[in-house]
Amino acid sequence: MKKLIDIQNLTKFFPVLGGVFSRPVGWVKAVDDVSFHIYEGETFSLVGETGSGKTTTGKTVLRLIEPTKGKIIFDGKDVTSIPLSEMRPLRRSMQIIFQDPYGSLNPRLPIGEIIREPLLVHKVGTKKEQEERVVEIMKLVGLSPEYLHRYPHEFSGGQRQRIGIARAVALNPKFIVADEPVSALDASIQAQVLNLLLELQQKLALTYLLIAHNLAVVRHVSDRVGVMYLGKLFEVTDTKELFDSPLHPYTQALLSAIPVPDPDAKKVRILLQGDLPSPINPPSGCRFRTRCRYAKDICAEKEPPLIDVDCEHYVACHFVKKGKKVEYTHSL
Amino acid sequence: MEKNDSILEVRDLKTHFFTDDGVVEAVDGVSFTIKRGEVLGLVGESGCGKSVASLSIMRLIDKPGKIVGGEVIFKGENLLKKTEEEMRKIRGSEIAMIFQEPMTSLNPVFTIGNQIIEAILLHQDLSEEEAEKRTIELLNLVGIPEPERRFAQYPHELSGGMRQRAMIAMAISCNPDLLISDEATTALDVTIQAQILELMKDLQKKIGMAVLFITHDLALVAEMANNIAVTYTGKIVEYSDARSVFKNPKHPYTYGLLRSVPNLLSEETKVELPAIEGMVPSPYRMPQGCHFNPRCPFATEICRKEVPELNELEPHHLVRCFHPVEVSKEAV
Repeated sequence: MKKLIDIQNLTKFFPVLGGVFSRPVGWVKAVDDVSFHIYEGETFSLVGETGSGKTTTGKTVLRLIEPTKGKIIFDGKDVTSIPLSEMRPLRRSMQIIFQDPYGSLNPRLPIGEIIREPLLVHKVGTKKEQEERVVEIMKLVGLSPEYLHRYPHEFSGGQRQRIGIARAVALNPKFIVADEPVSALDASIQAQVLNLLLELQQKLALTYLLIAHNLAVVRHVSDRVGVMYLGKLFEVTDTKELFDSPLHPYTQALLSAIPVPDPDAKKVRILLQGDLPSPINPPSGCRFRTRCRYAKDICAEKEPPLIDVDCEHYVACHFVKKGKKVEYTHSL
Repeated sequence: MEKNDSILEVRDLKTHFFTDDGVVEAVDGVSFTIKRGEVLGLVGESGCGKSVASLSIMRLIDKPGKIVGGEVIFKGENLLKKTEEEMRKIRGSEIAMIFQEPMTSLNPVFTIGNQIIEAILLHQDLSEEEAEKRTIELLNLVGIPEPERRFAQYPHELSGGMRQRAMIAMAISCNPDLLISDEATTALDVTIQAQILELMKDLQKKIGMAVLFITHDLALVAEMANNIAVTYTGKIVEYSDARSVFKNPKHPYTYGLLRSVPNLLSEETKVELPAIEGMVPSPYRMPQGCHFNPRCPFATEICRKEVPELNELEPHHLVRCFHPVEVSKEAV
């Protein structure tokens, strides 16, 4: 399989400014030395809680945020430091869908114009061709072309998300970052939008980077999943493996916390103690150790590297060894 | 259901909003009963009237809204007949409420401790020292570490999970008979949500309060509730014990929701989800007959003409539908 996206040691620190001269007095380590790849045609999901750095990672992959360190390889080409003038044509093949379908559409433009805008920016076709393309895309995402001249406020959340998706696919991209595409939508509408994303992936041979906190949604649409915590990637593997046999203690706790719609389901819940530490001053060694029930001395001293323990099942934990050998035991 | 052990009985509650664009029947003939120590889950999507129902119980409906009919019997007395003075005594002491966003329900300029003390002094005959002692006990009870230090902190110094814990501490400070939780865990991360749910279950057992648990998340009610009322456009469409609703859903809406929301138990992934077509109708343009009929795969002529009654199809299983779904036990 071909790697469409290859992320190597991606790092993004945001300065915390302070003092009279607004000098950086600290750094928010939003994404810290994260590496992963996405195969062509697959859906790779990044999951994690607030402040885990998943959205920053997604935006940095598209260079909507410039990385502090690391490499972004798109379709075999290193795009980390090419000038923006060269980046722009590449953006045709990499697009983004945002979470908030209310905030991401210009309220003053009719939706036909919103969907046409990427075609204008990239100077694709004549005016007539562009208009035809807009109608074609609207049909593709399940919007009736008669809505062409309506404004975003006339649409429901689900339809607005369709408009956002239409805009993203207008240029026939290869790769789409979908940042929480359904989390603002009602339950009965989520399924419609998820179906659309799956259908478009089939029809247009799209590769997705899905950023989501709803693990049930992630399980349904992803091929592979990466679990992030406090700016670090802790576990990466294919979806079934991750949900059936999670190896990292954080993944285990995260999965056990998901409510299941069955009153009879027996669950052993691993309750995490305390709150997320600050990303400005993360714990030494393994960042999860302050909430990990298996933590030992070594976890505070050394940071565990992300290693391949078995056929592309990556885990960053001192107590998970090659061959999926698990050596953690309760420290209590 | 026995009358005397019910703590809250809502009968045919109607809350309408008289707006310039027309009358919105936000809550339209809702009836349910909560017994002492029981959890009732009120589930529905945005606009189904679940929050308005809870605010009506507390008599917190503001213009242009008005409670136009029904009874709210709390411990044998109709709250709708109470004076504002009497209601103020009940709110916060006998019925407490927690909301989705703790930041907006806490006063930013007072310390956490002061706000809880205020609630205690308002409703209980305690000296200030006793109230302070009780507050520290409560903070401890809801699992806030270092309660003495947290006592003197302001809401912005606490994380989301901690704030919600402080809200719960305030809510239970006067040992309420009924706790209304309106999407109290929706804004929290899944591991923090699990902590708060455990806390609520635990407290409910310890102090024996009844809970009205309002949420849009079906999986959550499966974990929390004894009984479930599913609402759609201001009406209850299905009402039964949790097991029956999940194992044997009768209303096409409940059935559709359960099937369309991805969950961790579903076998097949990356397939089209059986989505519910269309969307919730505008409150100003309710369809004729059954409000769900335009989205219902089983709708016939009668559904488009008449509004179905909430009928007891099986013992303690109420359904508002002309064509209830027959689900074989294995199918779900």
